Amino acid sequence: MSDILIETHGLKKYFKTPRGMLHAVDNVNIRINRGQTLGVVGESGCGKSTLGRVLLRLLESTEGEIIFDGKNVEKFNKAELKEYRKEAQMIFQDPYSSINPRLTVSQIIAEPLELFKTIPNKLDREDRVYELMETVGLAERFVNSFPHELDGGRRQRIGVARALALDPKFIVCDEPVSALDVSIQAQILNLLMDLQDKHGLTYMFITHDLSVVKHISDEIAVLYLGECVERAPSKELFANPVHPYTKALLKAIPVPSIHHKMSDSDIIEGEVTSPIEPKPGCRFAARCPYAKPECSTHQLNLKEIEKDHFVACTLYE
Amino acid sequence: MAEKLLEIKDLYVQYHTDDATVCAVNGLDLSINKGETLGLVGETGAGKTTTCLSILKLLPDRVGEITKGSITYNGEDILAASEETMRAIRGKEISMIFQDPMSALNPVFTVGDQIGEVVKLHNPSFSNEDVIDRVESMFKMVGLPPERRTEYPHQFSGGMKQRIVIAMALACEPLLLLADEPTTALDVTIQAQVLRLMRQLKEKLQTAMILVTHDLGVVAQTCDKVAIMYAGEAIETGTVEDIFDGEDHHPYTVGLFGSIPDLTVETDRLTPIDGLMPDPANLPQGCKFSPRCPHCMDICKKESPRAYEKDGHIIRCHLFDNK
Repeated sequence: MSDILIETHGLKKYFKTPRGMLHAVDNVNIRINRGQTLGVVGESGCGKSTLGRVLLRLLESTEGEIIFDGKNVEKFNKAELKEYRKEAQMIFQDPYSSINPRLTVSQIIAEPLELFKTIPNKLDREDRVYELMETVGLAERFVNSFPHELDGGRRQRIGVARALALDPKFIVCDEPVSALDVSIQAQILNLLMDLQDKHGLTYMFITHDLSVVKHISDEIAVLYLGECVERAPSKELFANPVHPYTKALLKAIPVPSIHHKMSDSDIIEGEVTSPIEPKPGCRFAARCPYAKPECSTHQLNLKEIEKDHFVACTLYE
Repeated sequence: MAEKLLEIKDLYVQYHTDDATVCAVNGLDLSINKGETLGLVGETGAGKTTTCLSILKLLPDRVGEITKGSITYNGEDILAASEETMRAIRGKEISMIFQDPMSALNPVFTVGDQIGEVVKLHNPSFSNEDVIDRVESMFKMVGLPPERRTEYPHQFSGGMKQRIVIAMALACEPLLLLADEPTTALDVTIQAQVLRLMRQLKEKLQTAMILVTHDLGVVAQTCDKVAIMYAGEAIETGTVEDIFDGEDHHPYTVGLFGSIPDLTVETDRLTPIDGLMPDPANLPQGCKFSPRCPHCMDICKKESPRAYEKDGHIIRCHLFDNK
């Protein structure tokens, strides 16, 4: 059994829009080892969520392949796909809109168990629901509550319990804490990390919050307009960022300390450009302080500059 | 000695709903001097936005009510002021940047018209050309091309809309700016740009600012003073140095800092605060933080702590009874 649980080769997802092709995910290669966490960071509209959905086949990819546990996900037949749905789960960003308001907590958590008929006996199923609620730290008294009676943190715990119900191997966490208050955020992050230790889960953790991603990930991929511009082990990326966008992103985080004042010169200008029919060459070139003429001509690929540290930039060609 | 611009004393605000009375603000004390930036930090439901709305007397009619306390702005009692006086103050003397730039703008008017509206209202003698001049100079100030003033909100990105809202708030050069989570809806690189802009404008116009946020990083980078709110009270106030470097802290402040992953320090686990914010319709007796506090004592459950002050650093906690 290899160490790699899921990997992609040249994964692309384009959307047809009236103004042309929108390149949401463009030629992305990622690899996640068993029991590890890949953090995916980037600003809004960079294709983070689309990437997560394509991996789970909630969206069909345009090109490229996804290999899960040695099998090609794209070529799954109906039965295999059903099996895949069990092994790969998702925790959604918004705990308010991702759970059915008409179901009680126990019904929500039991739904996957019923659908996949993993536990045929009703009483056993109830036991499993209680067990899951305990795992995620939901008190038993909420078993018959409706989602609107609970606050955001508890709702997100329901989302986690539901994702865990079928004992998955791989969970895509799509900004699971960004809708929550900081003190609650920390509770959920700790919970996710404990569960990983206990069940050997593999995560893809999508977020725009770099301090969260550093805390939870083993490896980080930085996305910009659908392309992966830099990929490195978490510590390495923070200690030694090379791509100008990664550097800018790291410098833009306001540090909660009065001894590290941000300097105005570190701030990059401009905004994320449109992902519709992007120009060839580096997509960050328009905002890049080091842009050269050749940046907008030739296609860049990720290049290994140090062990496990990949970057796509003309400065390192 | 710096001049006091705004002083809030013992403010109580309640919302009356069909089911219950919600105590949003409970005995809040705050003061801000001219040209100063005060960071108002707290989680959802701490009463931050309610405080801002009370200063402008914009609480929803009949539902929201200031039950006790005083707000003094530049020597004038805001709570006793007539609606006419308030209209002259809003936008001109005190203005507000609302949380969500997407919904703070009217989609059917051009952005130039919306900024011009404030200018015209507070400067009746201005001709149309004067108004356009002012709007264009505001556009330049916040770093937008002036010719885009004839466009509609949907033609701008989120960061640009936030700049427009800032331009609108600053159009009459107010003395006090209430910024309610001005960067929460923005991406980090855009947030950095907006914060830089606000810092520069503050220096240029000498505007005092109350910055409402839950992001301690933003506070460290922009504020002079900080007030940490919990369940409608300022549980700790002081200068940024007091809050970020001081020795003594309210247990809630300690919990808040323990909850944010620090980029500079390696930690395996975060140390969050257990439990949840109390329901403002049903607040606990005594200290409002006591059910979640790791240092809770018997007295905490019975009596509200008084404020302990040391060189301007104020903490409301029974732990400091002996000191």
